[in-house]
Amino acid sequence: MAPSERKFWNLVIAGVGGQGTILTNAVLGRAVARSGLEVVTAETHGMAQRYGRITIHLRIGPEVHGALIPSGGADVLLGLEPLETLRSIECCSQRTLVLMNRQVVRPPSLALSWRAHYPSLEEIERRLQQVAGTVLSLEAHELARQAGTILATNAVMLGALCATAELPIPAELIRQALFEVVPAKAQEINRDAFEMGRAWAHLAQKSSCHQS
Amino acid sequence: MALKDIQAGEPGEKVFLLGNEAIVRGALEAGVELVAGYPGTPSSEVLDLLFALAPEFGHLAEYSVNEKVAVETAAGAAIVGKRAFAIMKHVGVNVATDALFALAQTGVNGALVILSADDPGMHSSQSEQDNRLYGEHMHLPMLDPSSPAEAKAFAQAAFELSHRLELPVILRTTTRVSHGSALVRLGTIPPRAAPAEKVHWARYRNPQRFTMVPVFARARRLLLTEKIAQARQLCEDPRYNPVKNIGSSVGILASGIAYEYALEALQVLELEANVMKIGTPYPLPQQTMAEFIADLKVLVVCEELEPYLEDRVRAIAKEANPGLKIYGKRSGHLPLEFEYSSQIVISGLAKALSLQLPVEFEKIEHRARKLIQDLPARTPVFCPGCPHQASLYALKQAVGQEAVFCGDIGCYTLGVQSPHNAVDTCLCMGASIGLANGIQYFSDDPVVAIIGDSTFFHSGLSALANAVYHQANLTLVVLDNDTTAMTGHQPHPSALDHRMKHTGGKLLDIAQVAEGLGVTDVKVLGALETERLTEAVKHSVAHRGVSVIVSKEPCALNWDRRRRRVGQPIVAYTVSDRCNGCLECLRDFNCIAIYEQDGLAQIDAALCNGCGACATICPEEAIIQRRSAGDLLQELTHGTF
Ligand code: SF4
Ligand code: SF4
Repeated sequence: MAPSERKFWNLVIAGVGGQGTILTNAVLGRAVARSGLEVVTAETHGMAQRYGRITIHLRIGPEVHGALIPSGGADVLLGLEPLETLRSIECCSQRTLVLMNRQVVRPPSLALSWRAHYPSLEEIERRLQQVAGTVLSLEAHELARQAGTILATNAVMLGALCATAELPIPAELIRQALFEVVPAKAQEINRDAFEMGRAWAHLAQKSSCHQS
Repeated sequence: MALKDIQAGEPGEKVFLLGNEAIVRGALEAGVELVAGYPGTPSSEVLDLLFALAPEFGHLAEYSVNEKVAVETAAGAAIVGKRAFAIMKHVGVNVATDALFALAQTGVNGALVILSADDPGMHSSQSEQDNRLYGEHMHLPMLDPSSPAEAKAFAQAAFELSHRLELPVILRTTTRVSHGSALVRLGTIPPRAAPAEKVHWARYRNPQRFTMVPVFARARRLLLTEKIAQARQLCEDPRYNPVKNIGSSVGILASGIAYEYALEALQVLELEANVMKIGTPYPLPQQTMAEFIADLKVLVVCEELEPYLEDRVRAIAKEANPGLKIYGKRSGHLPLEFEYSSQIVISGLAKALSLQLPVEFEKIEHRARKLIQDLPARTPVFCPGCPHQASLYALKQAVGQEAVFCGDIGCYTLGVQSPHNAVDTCLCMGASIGLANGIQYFSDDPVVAIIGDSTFFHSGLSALANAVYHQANLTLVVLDNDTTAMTGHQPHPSALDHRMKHTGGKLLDIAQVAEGLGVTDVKVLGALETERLTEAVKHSVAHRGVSVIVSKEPCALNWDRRRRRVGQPIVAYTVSDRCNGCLECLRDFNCIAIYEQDGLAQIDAALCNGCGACATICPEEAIIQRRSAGDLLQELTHGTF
């Protein structure tokens, strides 16, 4: 089904407090406002200010209702941290594209021998692949660092999202909204980061086409 | 970003707003003149934004010490004809109930709107309560929006309704409405002359109305019944309680966010039904409801928390449609506890109407559970450098495992987790001292009450006076981090901050307040000096009677901000080769910047906040600052700096 025929386009963002999930939410919301479609989002986090798990459910469509996406209903799972991406697997099904940043954030509860308890990235991807239609993972934080600052990781992820997902709105609106939302002095870095994410995705898709 | 959108958004423009931001815009469009509240998730943004916007829009705003005082302050303004807004979370309304029941009788002259932000699912609350019942219980009209756009419309309507009925009106939201975002169309904000116009009290003096001695109160009680009858008429308005009748024999009665879920469920199940949405849980539009159910065979009620609508529509159906089948919580089709989602409503509706589910949710969930069951948890923790962590460590060192630890509400409640295990109870704001008072009557073990600075002023004062008065034997530790941290760093009486530049304020000193309440043993210490703090706690616990320790150090997040503002670098700590791998720092203290690597402690320099608390507890003195003064000097003299 093409996205326009579906009633909603559903995105789950999963990450850890401080990773800029809320910024991504603001960018997408702004972009939809210019598209003529409607958008609803719900943000879930616990009582801690930082370092806890954060998920955002975001739905776009000509008419939208509750923001919480039913199980298996995500079109895209945008994972900013591998463990938290896997923890959101409930939203995945064959229709889902998982786009995951490979930056590991140590769960603070695991101070002692945490590496032994944190599943390997390969294991995380393997499990995601069991359920989701497509799983792509990238070193978005590294690309962001190359662009100038790790703070631009979200811009890389948005660039990758625009190049891989069937979006219900023009990618250009997302790009524009990103530049409006980030501070003026960070615009150039974010522009580079966005393009790097995009370029990465084009390459990744080409190579996955070759594989199949 | 959002602030700019709320502030400068043009009338007619559609902007992406959080439900709480939409409420702020609604209040501004309604011409709010005074705002008072106490922060609490999920209501805090409303108060913070209205406080920040006060200089520009000319309304007055205060962070009150608690919700009761906030309601009374707003009521005072409304009695003298102003439009006032009191802001709080659902449990905050409990604190204010005493004032609200009486205010229903007195009514107001201007307008008084109370925001009650409920938290189904208890994302950040100690209890799950359905404040729709307060509307009925207090006889206060209540509006219950189901989306951010409606939150703005209802915020505005609440002021109009209050003004018209001369009654306080409750605007009730839930986490998903307050913390959900959507596109909201802006309206016009009326211009206002600042500063606020003064009034002559003589114009408003009316003891028969505002002095609730029994003889006056009885007269007002009768009047309240009349006003509610009038309100009930107004609530038959389809703007609040719209009906969609497509001639189906199946009906849906829904309210709040559950209404949105119900609409999605109908789409997903490809079901046609009549739908009535309840936007005024009190007074209910009984006439419209009776008409709505008259020709139905089946009614499904979709509402979060209590079966409030379900029970009331059942009563209406006794006359209007005795044969009607009503499904909801009472029938077991929808859950009584926690928040709903589209999925829950889809499943409940399918079950009630014996429809096939288009998606096998249970199978998906079962498979997902299996794939994540062995994953390490990511539980909330103290920020690195959090002074509470050091205080709780010292406390534990001083009194050991046997002591009673009555905790309170704030970031420090995280101390319930290992390795701190320093919070044995947490009930509600200020309860630490009262509970400790009750337990100390029967305990020979040391009894310690732990309370934050903001909570101390919120509702600790009267409990402390009570403990002193009754010669209780307890130690109160005030964890003074100079802010209301958990809800987003709001000011309070002993923490005036830069935001209060335009209002000013008088600083209260916690130690002086305790002395003023008759406590003779009061000590003030730095939270990060764990050894001194441990000694002090030992002394205080040995002291008979009430003793108070104020453990002071700014919240680590605020300390970060301050350093960033003045360009002072954060100098991280590091573990030297003296570390022998005892890992006491991890086992007993557990700052999240510290982790284990090959049997030794390591500090993540990117996370470390440079507080130095860990250095004071390491028995080997292995934890040192990255660049000591000596290093710096050397670097300077060698020109490498
Ligand atoms: S916000 Fe402040 S008080 Fe709360 S855990 Fe972090 S440092 Fe501690
Ligand atoms: S100095 Fe120690 S206790 Fe303080 S933030 Fe750094 S690692 Fe944590």
